[in-house]
Amino acid sequence: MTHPDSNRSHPCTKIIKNGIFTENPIFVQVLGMCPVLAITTSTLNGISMGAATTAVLTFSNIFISILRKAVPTAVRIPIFVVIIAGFVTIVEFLLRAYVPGVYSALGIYIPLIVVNCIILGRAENFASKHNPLRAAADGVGMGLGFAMALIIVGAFREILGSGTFLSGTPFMLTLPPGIPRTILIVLPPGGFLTLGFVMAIRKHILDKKKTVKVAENNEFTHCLSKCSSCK
Amino acid sequence: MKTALPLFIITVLVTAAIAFIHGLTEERIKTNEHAAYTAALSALVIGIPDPVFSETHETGNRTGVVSYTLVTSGGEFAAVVINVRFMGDQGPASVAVAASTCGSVLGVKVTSHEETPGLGANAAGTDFLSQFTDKSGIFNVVRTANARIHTNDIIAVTAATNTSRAVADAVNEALRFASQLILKFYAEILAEG
Repeated sequence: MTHPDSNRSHPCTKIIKNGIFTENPIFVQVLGMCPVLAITTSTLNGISMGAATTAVLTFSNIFISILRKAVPTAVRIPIFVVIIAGFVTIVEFLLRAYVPGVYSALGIYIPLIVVNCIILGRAENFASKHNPLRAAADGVGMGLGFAMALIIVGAFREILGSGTFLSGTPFMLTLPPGIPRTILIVLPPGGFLTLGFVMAIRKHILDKKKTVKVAENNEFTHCLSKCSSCK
Repeated sequence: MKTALPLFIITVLVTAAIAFIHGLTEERIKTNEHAAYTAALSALVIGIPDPVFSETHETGNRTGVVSYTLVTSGGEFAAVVINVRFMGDQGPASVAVAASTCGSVLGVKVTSHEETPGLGANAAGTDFLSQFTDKSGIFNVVRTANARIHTNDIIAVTAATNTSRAVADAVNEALRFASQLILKFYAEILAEG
């Protein structure tokens, strides 16, 4: 993980990209694993949990950043927790009022957003040290990175385990009956397996890209130093 | 004092914000919950025209029959919906059973459970629950269709026999309670002359 101050000179778009790709909270930092493994039995659950966490992360980051100079160091963690818990409760009320189906699907994992270490981690490492605009960008980036991971894992598990995609929405697709479903994938061990495979695929793609880059650089240096045509 | 004051002020502000949002959403949440409850009950009493649901009566039990709702149609007592809380294979679960005045099952719905998705959770699906519809008496769970002898034999969900048995036992308990309730209701009518 990079130092929290390393992004100070970066534009907001770079902070957002950082949260989604370079420092993705799930695939790179491996934080907030509890909801990732528990609720990703469907894509819709992943989308809903991702959206709820992004909202809480963004607004709590903005408020913590606004209050950062007024918060005494000794009580900063209780204050952060109160702010985060407040936003989680507000999101819970809004979900119950406007999308009750999503609220029932996510159940206990909505109040548990309070103890998601990504949110407290970003409050302590980033929002409390940067201005509200950068804090908001960090919240959006990390939230989208978290949501992206949940959606990818949820989609894999739903397709392979239940044989559907986007079930619970009007865009639901069902696999033909001949294609076998692997029940293990929707069970808790399936969560670990899927996450492991997705992380391995991501690592493989990044390593391949790195190898190509290194090879290109080596070729260039080689050419400048020893190539007969350059001489 | 210097350190506690900011924490106190922020806690008061957050509480005020929560109270404000609660005030804004309270009515809508109540409406949603009532609509969901009525929709769930209506889906159970298929075949009864224009059902009207009474207030839910709590029995005070923590397990077994926890509450029931009387259903009338055209001013006549038509059915009863009974909520049973029971122990599934993986944890507590609840089932709502609608019974007609002649004691047959109109519909069954598992309203909450902690069963394993893909295994025990399949016992909450319509394929399994529709086996109870239009039948009365005591239900017995059998493992395969070949083992079925009586019409009241319910074929268990594959790899979820325990959950299937728990659901069938809950339906049996609901029907026992329904028959007592219906008898009491007709006894009162007879007593009134």
